[in-house]
Amino acid sequence: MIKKFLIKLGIATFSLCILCSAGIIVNATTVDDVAAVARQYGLPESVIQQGYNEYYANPDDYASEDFDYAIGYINQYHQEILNRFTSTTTSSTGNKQETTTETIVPSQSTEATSPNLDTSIPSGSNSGSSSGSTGNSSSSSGSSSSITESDFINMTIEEKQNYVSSLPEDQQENFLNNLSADELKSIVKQLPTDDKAAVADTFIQAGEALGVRVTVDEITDDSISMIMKNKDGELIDVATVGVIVEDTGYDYRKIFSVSALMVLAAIGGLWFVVRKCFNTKSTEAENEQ
Amino acid sequence: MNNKKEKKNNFLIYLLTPLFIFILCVGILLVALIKPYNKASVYLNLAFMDEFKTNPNEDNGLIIKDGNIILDYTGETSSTGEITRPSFGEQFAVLRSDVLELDVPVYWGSSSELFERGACQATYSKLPGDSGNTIISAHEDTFFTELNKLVVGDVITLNTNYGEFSYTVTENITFKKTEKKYVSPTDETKLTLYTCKKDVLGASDTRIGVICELTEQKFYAQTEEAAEN
Repeated sequence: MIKKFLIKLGIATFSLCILCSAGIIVNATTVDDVAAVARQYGLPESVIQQGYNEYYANPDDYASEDFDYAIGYINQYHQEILNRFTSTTTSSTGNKQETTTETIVPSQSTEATSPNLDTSIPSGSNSGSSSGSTGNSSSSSGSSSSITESDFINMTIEEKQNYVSSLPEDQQENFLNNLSADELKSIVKQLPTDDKAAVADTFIQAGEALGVRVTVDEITDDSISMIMKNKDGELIDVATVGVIVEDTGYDYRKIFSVSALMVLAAIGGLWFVVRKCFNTKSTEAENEQ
Repeated sequence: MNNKKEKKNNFLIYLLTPLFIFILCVGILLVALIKPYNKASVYLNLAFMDEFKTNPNEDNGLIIKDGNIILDYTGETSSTGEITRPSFGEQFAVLRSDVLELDVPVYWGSSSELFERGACQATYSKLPGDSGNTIISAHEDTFFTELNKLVVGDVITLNTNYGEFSYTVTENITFKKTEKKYVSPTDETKLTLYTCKKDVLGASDTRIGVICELTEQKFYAQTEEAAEN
């Protein structure tokens, strides 16, 4: 009797272990989840590929918590964009309603001491996507809105803010959380310079979590340019939020200025020498007379 | 006394005159040779380009890779296929047209070093074969000197190691550096080429270029084997 009970207990324990481990496998965050979230929030494909490179170099070094940690930083980057967008809304419309613009600044070291990061995976993430930063299909149409993604992108920031404000309060958060990568980028490039810098700061932290060293190269009124290097210091991308028209001409103005100065100085000098000679000769002629 | 003055004058004539003439010549040569020098350096770069070399630039971490791009693939092709994403600073394509003088190497990403070696594709734009706007620019004095000669109907080909993509010019464009509409991402699949408008002083705020529509895309069936051949 006891033997049968022990066997049943053993089987039950074994089954429970299998179920638990299966549950853990299902819920464990993977590197693909990180990539999916990064793509959803518009991180450059080069950063995502670098993250994969880091992972596949030593896959055994990474646990599920590490991926949660990375997702936390990416979520923080996303949240910062939304915070800046909504805080600008308040200031521009003069709305007195309270806004939360506080930024959670994690410790600079990437030790396991996890900062207050939201490590949840967004429900709209399309983990199967491989089409890069603009491949996200979760558009504003997901939230009872009648505008298309391109309509929203083409709006000015004030129009965007007014549109979001016009939505019922319960739908605003849903709308903002479902913005596509391109819609988020369009917001970032329209933010004031200070806000762009704050967003860039969280982007730097998200990049670090994926093994990319990011430095801000240039912030202009309508773009941010960031230099990304891997741990070996090799340049992997110069990513731009906003579009840039390249300088496709050599600037000859300095060379031409130097040349003009040289020519003028030489002509002036020759004139001086010639004048000096003529003066001497005329003096000699006068003396001879 | 007179002898002393004469000696001084002779010194001025014999020393300063050649010096001033030399400075004058250097000044004139600088202006006259700067554009031919740029052009010559392009041809020299192309002539001495190794088949596949890497040049780590220790200052900014840029690693330039000059690829061996397949130009005469004869194997099976299909209209759909996989796009190979290059690394920043890697030559991934060759742009060809009967109108342009050169087969222009195309690099992924843009920097002053890459502009010295060929045309550059903006990393926020779409790779050939992907749907969207493929944006390529190059220096007016070097690789895109003849870009203004392209007219509607001209054919441009982009050869990569994963496929060949043919485009037809549909529009000649002129825009200011501050205008972004031609260099923005689009849903429509097209190729945008641009460069600076010719200017005596070099840098111009006006850009000229062409917009081309995709007319044919051929993805290579066996890219690795083809690359080896």
